[in-house]
Amino acid sequence: MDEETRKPDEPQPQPAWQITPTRKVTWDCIDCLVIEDQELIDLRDRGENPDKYWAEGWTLTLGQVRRSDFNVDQDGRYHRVYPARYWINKLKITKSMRRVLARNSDLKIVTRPLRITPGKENLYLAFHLNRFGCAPREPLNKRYQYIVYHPARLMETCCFLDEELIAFSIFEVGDYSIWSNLGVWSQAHAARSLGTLTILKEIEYARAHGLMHYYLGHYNPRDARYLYKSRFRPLELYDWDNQRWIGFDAPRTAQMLREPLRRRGD
Amino acid sequence: MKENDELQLIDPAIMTHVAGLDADGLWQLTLERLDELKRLESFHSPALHGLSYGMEHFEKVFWMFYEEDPDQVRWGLIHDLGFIGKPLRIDAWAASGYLDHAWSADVTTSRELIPEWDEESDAHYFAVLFDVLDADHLDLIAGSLDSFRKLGFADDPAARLTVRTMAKTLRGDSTLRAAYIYQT
Repeated sequence: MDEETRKPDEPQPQPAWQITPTRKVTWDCIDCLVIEDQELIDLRDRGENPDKYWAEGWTLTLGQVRRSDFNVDQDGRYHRVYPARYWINKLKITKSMRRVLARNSDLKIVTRPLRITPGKENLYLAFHLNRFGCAPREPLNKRYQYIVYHPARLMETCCFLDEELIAFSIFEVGDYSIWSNLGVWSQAHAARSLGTLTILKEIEYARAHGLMHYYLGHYNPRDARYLYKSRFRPLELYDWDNQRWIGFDAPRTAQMLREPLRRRGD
Repeated sequence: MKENDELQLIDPAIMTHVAGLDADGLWQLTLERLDELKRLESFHSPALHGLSYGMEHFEKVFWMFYEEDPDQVRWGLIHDLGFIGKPLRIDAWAASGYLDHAWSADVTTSRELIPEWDEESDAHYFAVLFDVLDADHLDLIAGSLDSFRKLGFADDPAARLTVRTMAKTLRGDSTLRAAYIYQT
Protein backbone atom coordinates (compact mmCIF):
# COMPACT_ATOMS: atom_id res chain seq x y z
CA MET A 1 0.00 0.00 0.00
CA ASP A 2 1.15 3.51 -0.80
CA GLU A 3 2.89 5.06 2.22
CA GLU A 4 1.58 8.50 1.39
CA THR A 5 -2.06 7.47 1.65
CA ARG A 6 -1.50 5.54 4.88
CA LYS A 7 0.57 8.05 6.73
CA PRO A 8 -1.01 8.74 10.11
CA ASP A 9 -1.86 12.28 11.05
CA GLU A 10 1.22 13.48 12.83
CA PRO A 11 0.39 16.06 15.50
CA GLN A 12 2.08 19.41 15.20
CA PRO A 13 5.14 19.53 17.45
CA GLN A 14 4.64 21.68 20.49
CA PRO A 15 7.26 23.49 22.52
CA ALA A 16 8.06 21.87 25.85
CA TRP A 17 6.36 24.57 27.92
CA GLN A 18 2.97 23.64 26.44
CA ILE A 19 3.03 20.07 27.69
CA THR A 20 0.61 19.68 30.55
CA PRO A 21 1.72 16.98 32.91
CA THR A 22 -1.36 15.47 34.43
CA ARG A 23 -0.24 13.96 37.68
CA LYS A 24 2.19 14.68 40.44
CA VAL A 25 4.08 11.79 42.02
CA THR A 26 6.46 11.86 44.88
CA TRP A 27 9.74 10.02 44.75
CA ASP A 28 12.21 10.26 47.53
CA CYS A 29 10.59 13.49 48.64
CA ILE A 30 11.17 15.03 45.23
CA ASP A 31 7.98 15.94 43.43
CA CYS A 32 7.96 14.86 39.79
CA LEU A 33 5.60 15.85 37.04
CA VAL A 34 4.52 13.03 34.76
CA ILE A 35 2.16 12.46 31.91
CA GLU A 36 -0.51 9.92 32.68
CA ASP A 37 -3.57 10.09 30.48
CA GLN A 38 -6.49 7.76 30.28
CA GLU A 39 -9.61 8.05 28.19
CA LEU A 40 -12.60 5.79 28.10
CA ILE A 41 -13.03 5.16 24.41
CA ASP A 42 -14.42 2.10 22.72
CA LEU A 43 -12.58 2.12 19.41
CA ARG A 44 -14.80 -0.61 18.03
CA ASP A 45 -17.93 1.38 18.77
CA ARG A 46 -16.42 4.43 17.12
CA GLY A 47 -15.17 2.44 14.13
CA GLU A 48 -11.73 3.95 14.64
CA ASN A 49 -8.45 2.27 13.92
CA PRO A 50 -5.88 2.00 16.71
CA ASP A 51 -2.99 3.22 14.57
CA LYS A 52 -3.49 6.93 15.16
CA TYR A 53 -3.55 6.33 18.91
CA TRP A 54 -0.33 4.32 18.77
CA ALA A 55 1.19 7.16 16.75
CA GLU A 56 0.58 9.49 19.70
CA GLY A 57 2.03 7.20 22.36
CA TRP A 58 -1.22 5.60 23.52
CA THR A 59 -1.68 1.94 24.37
CA LEU A 60 -4.98 0.11 24.11
CA THR A 61 -6.95 -1.84 26.63
CA LEU A 62 -10.55 -2.90 26.67
CA GLY A 63 -12.74 0.18 26.51
CA GLN A 64 -9.95 2.68 27.06
CA VAL A 65 -6.72 4.13 25.82
CA ARG A 66 -3.82 5.03 28.09
CA ARG A 67 -0.46 6.63 27.92
CA SER A 68 2.18 7.50 30.42
CA ASP A 69 5.74 8.70 30.15
CA PHE A 70 7.07 6.82 33.17
CA ASN A 71 7.32 3.44 34.73
CA VAL A 72 8.32 2.29 38.17
CA ASP A 73 11.14 -0.14 38.75
CA GLN A 74 11.24 -2.81 41.44
CA ASP A 75 12.93 -0.42 43.82
CA GLY A 76 10.05 2.03 43.50
CA ARG A 77 12.02 4.53 41.41
CA TYR A 78 10.31 6.42 38.60
CA HIS A 79 11.95 6.50 35.17
CA ARG A 80 10.94 8.31 32.03
CA VAL A 81 10.17 5.92 29.18
CA TYR A 82 9.61 6.52 25.48
CA PRO A 83 7.41 4.60 23.03
CA ALA A 84 9.57 2.88 20.43
CA ARG A 85 8.70 2.24 16.82
CA TYR A 86 10.22 1.29 13.47
CA TRP A 87 9.31 1.82 9.85
CA ILE A 88 8.88 -1.70 8.49
CA ASN A 89 10.26 -0.94 5.05
CA LYS A 90 13.44 0.61 6.51
CA LEU A 91 14.16 -1.98 9.20
CA LYS A 92 17.56 -3.54 8.71
CA ILE A 93 17.94 -7.25 9.30
CA THR A 94 21.56 -7.56 10.37
CA LYS A 95 23.88 -10.52 10.07
CA SER A 96 23.38 -11.42 13.71
CA MET A 97 19.60 -11.40 13.23
CA ARG A 98 19.97 -13.68 10.22
CA ARG A 99 22.06 -15.97 12.40
CA VAL A 100 19.24 -16.06 14.94
CA LEU A 101 16.81 -17.06 12.20
CA ALA A 102 19.19 -19.73 10.93
CA ARG A 103 19.90 -21.06 14.43
CA ASN A 104 16.17 -21.55 14.94
CA SER A 105 15.33 -23.07 11.57
CA ASP A 106 14.60 -26.37 13.35
CA LEU A 107 11.67 -24.85 15.22
CA LYS A 108 8.07 -25.03 14.13
CA ILE A 109 6.64 -21.54 14.19
CA VAL A 110 3.07 -20.44 13.63
CA THR A 111 1.35 -17.05 13.65
CA ARG A 112 -2.40 -17.14 14.32
CA PRO A 113 -5.15 -15.45 16.32
CA LEU A 114 -4.27 -15.25 20.00
CA ARG A 115 -5.62 -17.97 22.23
CA ILE A 116 -4.65 -18.19 25.89
CA THR A 117 -3.78 -21.75 26.88
CA PRO A 118 -2.25 -23.50 29.90
CA GLY A 119 1.00 -23.94 28.00
CA LYS A 120 1.34 -20.19 27.57
CA GLU A 121 0.33 -19.48 31.17
CA ASN A 122 3.00 -21.83 32.50
CA LEU A 123 5.67 -20.41 30.24
CA TYR A 124 4.69 -16.84 31.14
CA LEU A 125 4.85 -17.53 34.87
CA ALA A 126 8.28 -19.16 34.63
CA PHE A 127 9.55 -16.37 32.39
CA HIS A 128 8.29 -13.60 34.65
CA LEU A 129 9.75 -15.19 37.78
CA ASN A 130 13.09 -15.54 36.10
CA ARG A 131 13.23 -12.12 34.46
CA PHE A 132 11.59 -9.91 37.04
CA GLY A 133 11.93 -11.97 40.20
CA CYS A 134 8.21 -12.06 40.88
CA ALA A 135 4.98 -13.52 39.54
CA PRO A 136 3.08 -11.43 36.99
CA ARG A 137 0.46 -9.03 38.33
CA GLU A 138 -2.23 -11.02 36.57
CA PRO A 139 -2.31 -14.22 34.50
CA LEU A 140 -2.68 -14.02 30.73
CA ASN A 141 -6.30 -15.14 30.76
CA LYS A 142 -7.13 -12.11 32.91
CA ARG A 143 -4.95 -9.72 30.93
CA TYR A 144 -6.57 -10.88 27.69
CA GLN A 145 -9.94 -11.72 29.10
CA TYR A 146 -12.11 -10.59 26.22
CA ILE A 147 -10.03 -11.23 23.12
CA VAL A 148 -12.83 -10.77 20.59
CA TYR A 149 -13.73 -7.38 22.10
CA HIS A 150 -10.18 -6.02 22.11
CA PRO A 151 -9.90 -2.83 20.03
CA ALA A 152 -7.20 -4.30 17.80
CA ARG A 153 -6.87 -7.80 16.43
CA LEU A 154 -4.75 -9.89 18.81
CA MET A 155 -2.32 -12.36 17.28
CA GLU A 156 0.29 -14.77 18.60
CA THR A 157 3.49 -16.25 17.28
CA CYS A 158 4.28 -19.63 18.85
CA CYS A 159 7.62 -21.44 18.60
CA PHE A 160 7.76 -25.18 19.17
CA LEU A 161 10.83 -27.37 19.65
CA ASP A 162 9.85 -30.99 19.02
CA GLU A 163 6.49 -31.02 20.80
CA GLU A 164 7.22 -28.36 23.39
CA LEU A 165 6.15 -24.72 23.30
CA ILE A 166 9.34 -22.80 24.08
CA ALA A 167 8.46 -19.24 23.12
CA PHE A 168 5.55 -17.09 22.11
CA SER A 169 4.76 -13.47 21.52
CA ILE A 170 1.54 -11.51 21.47
CA PHE A 171 0.94 -8.54 19.22
CA GLU A 172 -1.89 -6.29 18.12
CA VAL A 173 -2.70 -5.56 14.50
CA GLY A 174 -4.12 -2.26 13.35
CA ASP A 175 -4.90 -1.03 9.87
CA TYR A 176 -1.29 -0.17 9.01
CA SER A 177 0.77 -0.96 12.12
CA ILE A 178 1.38 -3.64 14.65
CA TRP A 179 2.06 -3.20 18.35
CA SER A 180 4.16 -5.84 20.07
CA ASN A 181 2.62 -6.58 23.44
CA LEU A 182 4.61 -9.34 25.01
CA GLY A 183 7.46 -11.73 24.28
CA VAL A 184 7.96 -14.82 26.43
CA TRP A 185 10.52 -17.57 26.12
CA SER A 186 11.91 -20.54 27.96
CA GLN A 187 15.10 -19.76 29.88
CA ALA A 188 16.24 -23.30 29.20
CA HIS A 189 16.76 -22.28 25.56
CA ALA A 190 18.25 -18.84 26.17
CA ALA A 191 21.07 -19.51 23.70
CA ARG A 192 18.56 -19.47 20.87
CA SER A 193 17.81 -15.74 21.35
CA LEU A 194 14.12 -16.51 21.24
CA GLY A 195 13.11 -12.97 22.18
CA THR A 196 14.85 -11.67 19.08
CA LEU A 197 13.34 -14.51 17.07
CA THR A 198 9.76 -13.62 18.00
CA ILE A 199 10.40 -9.97 17.13
CA LEU A 200 11.80 -11.00 13.74
CA LYS A 201 8.74 -13.16 13.12
CA GLU A 202 6.45 -10.25 13.97
CA ILE A 203 8.40 -8.09 11.54
CA GLU A 204 8.01 -10.80 8.89
CA TYR A 205 4.28 -10.79 9.49
CA ALA A 206 4.16 -7.00 9.19
CA ARG A 207 6.14 -7.10 5.95
CA ALA A 208 3.99 -9.87 4.49
CA HIS A 209 0.86 -7.80 5.18
CA GLY A 210 2.26 -4.54 3.85
CA LEU A 211 2.11 -2.77 7.19
CA MET A 212 3.93 0.47 7.84
CA HIS A 213 4.95 0.72 11.50
CA TYR A 214 6.12 -1.72 14.13
CA TYR A 215 5.73 -0.54 17.72
CA LEU A 216 7.89 -2.31 20.28
CA GLY A 217 6.60 -1.06 23.60
CA HIS A 218 8.63 1.52 25.52
CA TYR A 219 12.32 2.28 25.65
CA ASN A 220 13.83 2.83 29.09
CA PRO A 221 17.42 4.06 28.83
CA ARG A 222 18.02 3.33 32.53
CA ASP A 223 17.01 -0.33 32.42
CA ALA A 224 19.39 -2.69 30.61
CA ARG A 225 16.56 -5.11 29.88
CA TYR A 226 15.03 -2.64 27.42
CA LEU A 227 18.20 -1.64 25.59
CA TYR A 228 17.86 -4.51 23.07
CA LYS A 229 15.34 -2.32 21.24
CA SER A 230 18.16 -0.14 19.99
CA ARG A 231 19.66 -3.14 18.17
CA PHE A 232 16.85 -2.86 15.66
CA ARG A 233 17.48 0.12 13.42
CA PRO A 234 16.43 2.68 12.48
CA LEU A 235 14.62 3.19 15.78
CA GLU A 236 12.30 6.11 16.51
CA LEU A 237 11.32 7.28 20.00
CA TYR A 238 8.38 9.43 20.95
CA ASP A 239 9.47 12.82 22.20
CA TRP A 240 6.82 13.54 24.83
CA ASP A 241 7.77 17.16 25.18
CA ASN A 242 7.42 17.94 21.49
CA GLN A 243 4.82 15.26 20.72
CA ARG A 244 6.59 13.84 17.73
CA TRP A 245 8.71 10.87 16.76
CA ILE A 246 12.45 11.40 16.47
CA GLY A 247 15.23 9.16 15.24
CA PHE A 248 17.39 7.39 17.82
CA ASP A 249 20.47 8.96 16.25
CA ALA A 250 19.07 12.49 16.21
CA PRO A 251 20.86 15.08 18.38
CA ARG A 252 17.67 15.78 20.37
CA THR A 253 17.43 12.08 21.34
CA ALA A 254 20.71 11.99 23.26
CA GLN A 255 19.61 15.05 25.23
CA MET A 256 16.13 13.62 25.77
CA LEU A 257 17.42 10.30 27.11
CA ARG A 258 19.62 12.08 29.63
CA GLU A 259 16.76 14.10 31.03
CA PRO A 260 15.30 12.81 34.27
CA LEU A 261 11.64 13.23 35.12
CA ARG A 262 10.81 16.91 35.51
CA ARG A 263 10.59 18.11 39.03
CA ARG A 264 8.17 20.64 40.33
CA GLY A 265 9.65 24.07 39.96
CA ASP A 266 11.82 23.11 36.95
CA MET B 1 -19.51 -11.88 17.82
CA LYS B 2 -18.90 -15.31 19.34
CA GLU B 3 -16.31 -15.77 22.05
CA ASN B 4 -15.70 -19.48 21.72
CA ASP B 5 -14.07 -21.18 18.79
CA GLU B 6 -15.79 -24.02 16.99
CA LEU B 7 -14.99 -27.48 15.71
CA GLN B 8 -16.84 -28.76 12.68
CA LEU B 9 -16.42 -31.46 10.09
CA ILE B 10 -15.53 -30.20 6.62
CA ASP B 11 -15.00 -31.47 3.11
CA PRO B 12 -11.86 -29.63 1.94
CA ALA B 13 -12.11 -31.01 -1.59
CA ILE B 14 -15.51 -29.46 -2.24
CA MET B 15 -14.32 -26.18 -0.79
CA THR B 16 -11.37 -26.02 -3.16
CA HIS B 17 -13.59 -27.15 -6.03
CA VAL B 18 -16.17 -24.42 -5.43
CA ALA B 19 -13.46 -21.80 -5.00
CA GLY B 20 -12.23 -22.55 -8.51
CA LEU B 21 -15.58 -22.58 -10.31
CA ASP B 22 -16.77 -19.91 -12.70
CA ALA B 23 -20.33 -18.55 -12.74
CA ASP B 24 -21.80 -21.37 -14.81
CA GLY B 25 -19.95 -23.93 -12.73
CA LEU B 26 -21.44 -22.49 -9.55
CA TRP B 27 -24.94 -22.66 -11.00
CA GLN B 28 -24.48 -26.24 -12.22
CA LEU B 29 -23.16 -27.34 -8.83
CA THR B 30 -26.07 -25.63 -7.09
CA LEU B 31 -28.50 -27.59 -9.26
CA GLU B 32 -26.66 -30.88 -8.71
CA ARG B 33 -26.64 -30.48 -4.95
CA LEU B 34 -30.02 -28.75 -4.64
CA ASP B 35 -31.64 -31.52 -2.59
CA GLU B 36 -28.84 -31.34 -0.09
CA LEU B 37 -29.03 -27.56 0.07
CA LYS B 38 -32.80 -27.65 0.63
CA ARG B 39 -32.30 -29.81 3.73
CA LEU B 40 -30.05 -27.30 5.46
CA GLU B 41 -31.53 -25.70 8.58
CA SER B 42 -29.40 -22.60 8.13
CA PHE B 43 -27.44 -21.55 5.08
CA HIS B 44 -25.16 -18.84 3.77
CA SER B 45 -26.08 -19.06 0.08
CA PRO B 46 -28.25 -15.98 -0.38
CA ALA B 47 -30.19 -17.33 -3.38
CA LEU B 48 -31.65 -20.20 -1.35
CA HIS B 49 -34.14 -17.75 0.11
CA GLY B 50 -35.75 -17.68 -3.34
CA LEU B 51 -36.34 -21.44 -3.50
CA SER B 52 -39.77 -21.30 -1.92
CA TYR B 53 -41.04 -19.24 -4.90
CA GLY B 54 -40.24 -21.86 -7.53
CA MET B 55 -37.27 -22.75 -9.70
CA GLU B 56 -37.72 -19.90 -12.17
CA HIS B 57 -37.60 -17.35 -9.41
CA PHE B 58 -34.71 -19.15 -7.74
CA GLU B 59 -32.65 -18.97 -10.94
CA LYS B 60 -33.36 -15.25 -11.32
CA VAL B 61 -32.38 -14.61 -7.71
CA PHE B 62 -29.19 -16.65 -8.08
CA TRP B 63 -27.99 -14.61 -11.05
CA MET B 64 -29.06 -11.39 -9.43
CA PHE B 65 -26.94 -12.16 -6.37
CA TYR B 66 -24.05 -13.33 -8.53
CA GLU B 67 -23.99 -10.07 -10.48
CA GLU B 68 -24.13 -8.08 -7.29
CA ASP B 69 -21.58 -10.01 -5.22
CA PRO B 70 -20.01 -13.09 -6.86
CA ASP B 71 -17.71 -13.71 -3.88
CA GLN B 72 -20.64 -13.97 -1.54
CA VAL B 73 -22.33 -16.55 -3.79
CA ARG B 74 -19.11 -18.51 -3.93
CA TRP B 75 -18.53 -18.30 -0.17
CA GLY B 76 -22.16 -19.25 0.46
CA LEU B 77 -21.74 -22.48 -1.47
CA ILE B 78 -18.39 -23.23 0.12
CA HIS B 79 -20.00 -22.85 3.53
CA ASP B 80 -23.20 -24.73 2.77
CA LEU B 81 -21.55 -27.67 1.02
CA GLY B 82 -18.17 -27.68 2.72
CA PHE B 83 -19.15 -27.50 6.40
CA ILE B 84 -20.88 -30.64 7.56
CA GLY B 85 -23.21 -31.10 10.50
CA LYS B 86 -23.38 -28.81 13.50
CA PRO B 87 -20.35 -27.06 14.96
CA LEU B 88 -19.16 -27.84 18.47
CA ARG B 89 -18.41 -24.74 20.58
CA ILE B 90 -15.09 -25.15 22.29
CA ASP B 91 -12.86 -22.72 24.14
CA ALA B 92 -9.11 -22.41 23.77
CA TRP B 93 -8.51 -23.96 27.17
CA ALA B 94 -10.35 -27.11 26.18
CA ALA B 95 -8.55 -27.18 22.83
CA SER B 96 -5.16 -26.56 24.42
CA GLY B 97 -4.11 -30.13 23.75
CA TYR B 98 -3.97 -29.08 20.11
CA LEU B 99 -3.04 -25.39 20.43
CA ASP B 100 -0.12 -26.10 22.77
CA HIS B 101 1.22 -28.89 20.57
CA ALA B 102 3.75 -28.51 17.77
CA TRP B 103 1.40 -30.23 15.33
CA SER B 104 -0.75 -27.09 15.34
CA ALA B 105 2.11 -25.29 13.59
CA ASP B 106 2.03 -27.67 10.62
CA VAL B 107 -1.58 -27.66 9.58
CA THR B 108 -3.20 -26.42 6.40
CA THR B 109 -5.39 -23.41 7.04
CA SER B 110 -8.38 -21.91 5.26
CA ARG B 111 -5.98 -19.53 3.51
CA GLU B 112 -4.71 -22.45 1.44
CA LEU B 113 -8.19 -23.72 0.57
CA ILE B 114 -10.16 -20.55 -0.01
CA PRO B 115 -9.10 -17.37 -1.80
CA GLU B 116 -8.92 -13.96 -0.22
CA TRP B 117 -12.23 -12.26 -0.75
CA ASP B 118 -12.69 -8.78 -2.09
CA GLU B 119 -12.92 -6.40 0.87
CA GLU B 120 -16.11 -4.92 -0.57
CA SER B 121 -17.82 -8.30 -0.62
CA ASP B 122 -20.05 -9.70 2.12
CA ALA B 123 -17.89 -12.81 1.89
CA HIS B 124 -15.02 -10.83 3.41
CA TYR B 125 -17.19 -10.09 6.43
CA PHE B 126 -18.69 -13.55 6.84
CA ALA B 127 -15.73 -15.73 5.94
CA VAL B 128 -13.96 -17.53 8.75
CA LEU B 129 -10.38 -18.50 9.47
CA PHE B 130 -9.84 -22.13 10.36
CA ASP B 131 -7.18 -24.78 10.76
CA VAL B 132 -7.70 -28.08 8.95
CA LEU B 133 -7.41 -30.91 11.44
CA ASP B 134 -7.16 -34.65 11.05
CA ALA B 135 -8.07 -37.41 13.50
CA ASP B 136 -4.77 -37.18 15.38
CA HIS B 137 -5.34 -33.49 16.08
CA LEU B 138 -8.81 -34.27 17.39
CA ASP B 139 -7.27 -36.88 19.68
CA LEU B 140 -5.11 -34.12 21.15
CA ILE B 141 -8.23 -32.07 21.89
CA ALA B 142 -9.98 -35.08 23.38
CA GLY B 143 -6.86 -35.59 25.48
CA SER B 144 -6.97 -32.08 26.95
CA LEU B 145 -10.69 -32.45 27.69
CA ASP B 146 -9.86 -35.69 29.52
CA SER B 147 -6.99 -34.07 31.45
CA PHE B 148 -9.16 -31.27 32.73
CA ARG B 149 -11.83 -33.74 33.78
CA LYS B 150 -9.23 -35.69 35.79
CA LEU B 151 -7.96 -32.48 37.37
CA GLY B 152 -11.46 -31.81 38.66
CA PHE B 153 -12.47 -29.00 36.30
CA ALA B 154 -16.00 -28.80 34.94
CA ASP B 155 -16.60 -31.82 32.78
CA ASP B 156 -18.32 -31.66 29.43
CA PRO B 157 -19.05 -35.27 28.47
CA ALA B 158 -21.03 -34.20 25.41
CA ALA B 159 -18.04 -32.32 24.07
CA ARG B 160 -15.69 -35.22 24.74
CA LEU B 161 -18.03 -37.61 23.00
CA THR B 162 -18.48 -35.28 20.03
CA VAL B 163 -14.75 -34.84 19.55
CA ARG B 164 -14.12 -38.59 19.76
CA THR B 165 -16.99 -39.22 17.31
CA MET B 166 -15.53 -36.68 14.91
CA ALA B 167 -12.15 -38.42 15.12
CA LYS B 168 -13.80 -41.75 14.40
CA THR B 169 -15.63 -40.25 11.41
CA LEU B 170 -12.39 -38.91 9.99
CA ARG B 171 -10.73 -42.28 10.38
CA GLY B 172 -13.64 -43.87 8.50
CA ASP B 173 -13.64 -41.35 5.64
CA SER B 174 -10.33 -40.07 4.39
CA THR B 175 -11.94 -37.29 2.34
CA LEU B 176 -13.18 -35.49 5.43
CA ARG B 177 -11.35 -33.29 7.88
CA ALA B 178 -12.29 -31.13 10.85
CA ALA B 179 -12.05 -27.36 11.02
CA TYR B 180 -10.87 -25.54 14.12
CA ILE B 181 -12.67 -22.27 13.45
CA TYR B 182 -11.27 -19.17 15.12
CA GLN B 183 -13.91 -16.71 16.23
CA THR B 184 -12.48 -13.27 15.58
